[in-house]
Amino acid sequence: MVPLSLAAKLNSMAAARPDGGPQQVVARLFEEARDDVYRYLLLIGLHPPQAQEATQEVFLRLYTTLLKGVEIENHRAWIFRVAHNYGLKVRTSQNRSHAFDPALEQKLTSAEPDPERGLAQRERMANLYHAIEGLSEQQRRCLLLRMEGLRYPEIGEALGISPSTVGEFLRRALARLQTVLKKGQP
Amino acid sequence: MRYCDGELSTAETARVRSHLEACWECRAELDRLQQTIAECMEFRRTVLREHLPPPPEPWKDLYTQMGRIDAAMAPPPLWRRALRWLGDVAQPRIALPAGAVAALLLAFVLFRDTPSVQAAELLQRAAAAENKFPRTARRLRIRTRSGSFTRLLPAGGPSPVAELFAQARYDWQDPLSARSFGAWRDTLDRKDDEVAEDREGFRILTRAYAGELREASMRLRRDDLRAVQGTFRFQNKEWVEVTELEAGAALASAAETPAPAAPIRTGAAVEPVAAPAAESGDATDADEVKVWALLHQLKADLGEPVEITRAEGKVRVSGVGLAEERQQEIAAQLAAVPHVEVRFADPAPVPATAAAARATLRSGESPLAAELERAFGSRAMVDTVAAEALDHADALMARAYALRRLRERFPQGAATLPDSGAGALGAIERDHLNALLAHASQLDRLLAPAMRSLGAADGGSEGERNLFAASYALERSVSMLFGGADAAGDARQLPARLLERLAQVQSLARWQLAKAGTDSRE
Repeated sequence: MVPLSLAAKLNSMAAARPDGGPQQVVARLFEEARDDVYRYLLLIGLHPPQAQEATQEVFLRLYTTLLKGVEIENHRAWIFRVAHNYGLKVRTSQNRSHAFDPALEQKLTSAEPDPERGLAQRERMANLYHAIEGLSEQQRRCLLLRMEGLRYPEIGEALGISPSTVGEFLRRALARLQTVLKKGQP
Repeated sequence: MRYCDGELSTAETARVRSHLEACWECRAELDRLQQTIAECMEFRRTVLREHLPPPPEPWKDLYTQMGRIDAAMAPPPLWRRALRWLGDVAQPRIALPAGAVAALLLAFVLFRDTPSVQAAELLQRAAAAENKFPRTARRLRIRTRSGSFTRLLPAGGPSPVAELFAQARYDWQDPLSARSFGAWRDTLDRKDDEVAEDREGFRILTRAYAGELREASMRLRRDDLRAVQGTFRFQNKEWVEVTELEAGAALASAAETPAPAAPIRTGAAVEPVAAPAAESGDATDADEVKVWALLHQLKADLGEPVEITRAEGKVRVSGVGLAEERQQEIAAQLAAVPHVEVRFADPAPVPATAAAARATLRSGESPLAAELERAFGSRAMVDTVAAEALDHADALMARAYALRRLRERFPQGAATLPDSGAGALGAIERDHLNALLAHASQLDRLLAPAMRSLGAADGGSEGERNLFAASYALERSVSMLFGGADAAGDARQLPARLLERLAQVQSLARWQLAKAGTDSRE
């Protein structure tokens, strides 16, 4: 019988774990969340190449953190918290004069008619987008992170504010959006 | 809202639920809130996913990158740890059998440290050496893509370079230190290291896969592992080169000590420029003045460690510690000049005398900090003026050094040169003098009103008869005013001394300029 190499032994030990080891955990999360993280970074102003690079960097930092034995209760929240902070640093150093503008409103109004959604729905989405753009920066960030599934304490940790302040920002943001949706115009 | 998001405590949730059961108005409000949330999620699902631009490149293979992290984080192999243990315990009284020593040496040769381990160990030792001595202010020459200037660090005040380093999470207050280099290096998840050694010392080069700072290198002096030069390349293509100046001693040593003709050990070698086949005879003074003029055009005679000597019938242009791009630029400029040899080398060790002559400055706080703040209006204004004043003082000093070198090389001036050489030499001198006066004028504008408000009277121009000495004294005064004071000085006299030295420099420079104009007409 040929003895197992040390690396093979370690791999088999990792495979025996319920989560398959750090590499498998990170690889799975990468498949699940990379597009969401990438889109979030676009929305906070990174240009597409920087957003993509930052996304990969975030997952590699997750891997390094797991290798060090750090226990992470909510991986998704950790990822978005790190993505937010890292993304802001990248954005301030972007060698361009303006933050990335996805020009969503223009795309929404010029999009081909979709029989499944109808014109009314497209107009609602365009109005909603306009309303989200009109929120304060902290309200918008709280809203976007909440949409990604982060809880108030996790959002607070990412933005450096208390959970109760997060709640207040979200309350105001949704109140504003409610008004817009009710009126049908910004 | 918090109830909707499940952020209330159990008791609070129960209370709210109980109320909702009884209150239609609140229940209707909750329904509207949840509908808005549903619209937001619809927005995320449809608008964001469909209309945001996709990633511009294919996603990289994460397993490959995680594998690199594994390799970088791997502990040293057992044989290395054993070798280290043997090195710790080996004393003269322990004599290993010759065979065992040979085996260990062979193991070392075959399985020597990876560069990452070498770099980490070297930085650790250098940082330990730094910790033995208190941190003092250091004069550093900083070169960037857009120019060069001098700083006394640690110092306050924002600057584009400080901002670059802050974004890269590299300590700008102490950029030339193994501590700062090591601290930055430790933040990198993935990196590649190179370590090179020559007779002068060590060079560590670290490349990062991500982050603002993509490549950093540092030279450590062999004797004491002191960091003497660093080069930093950033993601946005900016580069910064930091070199320690020993209170003018390094500039003096570069200006006065011919660089040793050592071959280049790292980086691209600049081969000696062969003389054109058709040239004959030895280099003349006119050839040398031509070289000075060409270097002057490149501003390579302003404090850069470039030497011009005559050896073996040629004009030899040599230098220590120049960046590779600069070496190539200079070589290209001189390529067509006959009887010229270009030879660059790595930095020589700082002579003991220069090290001993290093001025000791206190750690960056001006002795007149409060007075300056009153005179200029705010601490931020002091920092701004300090940065500009130090720039002008440094540039003025560079011109003074350049003039001194010309005077030492051509003590008779243009008298012994042919017409073409005399004209070129005179033009270089006048250019330096005009620039020196311009910088002195700027110092006057920046500092004189504040110095007078601190009680200093306008200085007389008597005293120093030598422009270089007067410039040196002025530059020291500016440094001391903003960064510290030497042990023997009386800080209260600084404003008066500064004005006096400024007047001397302006007077001497005008006189020399007038004389140069007269000489050229003769």
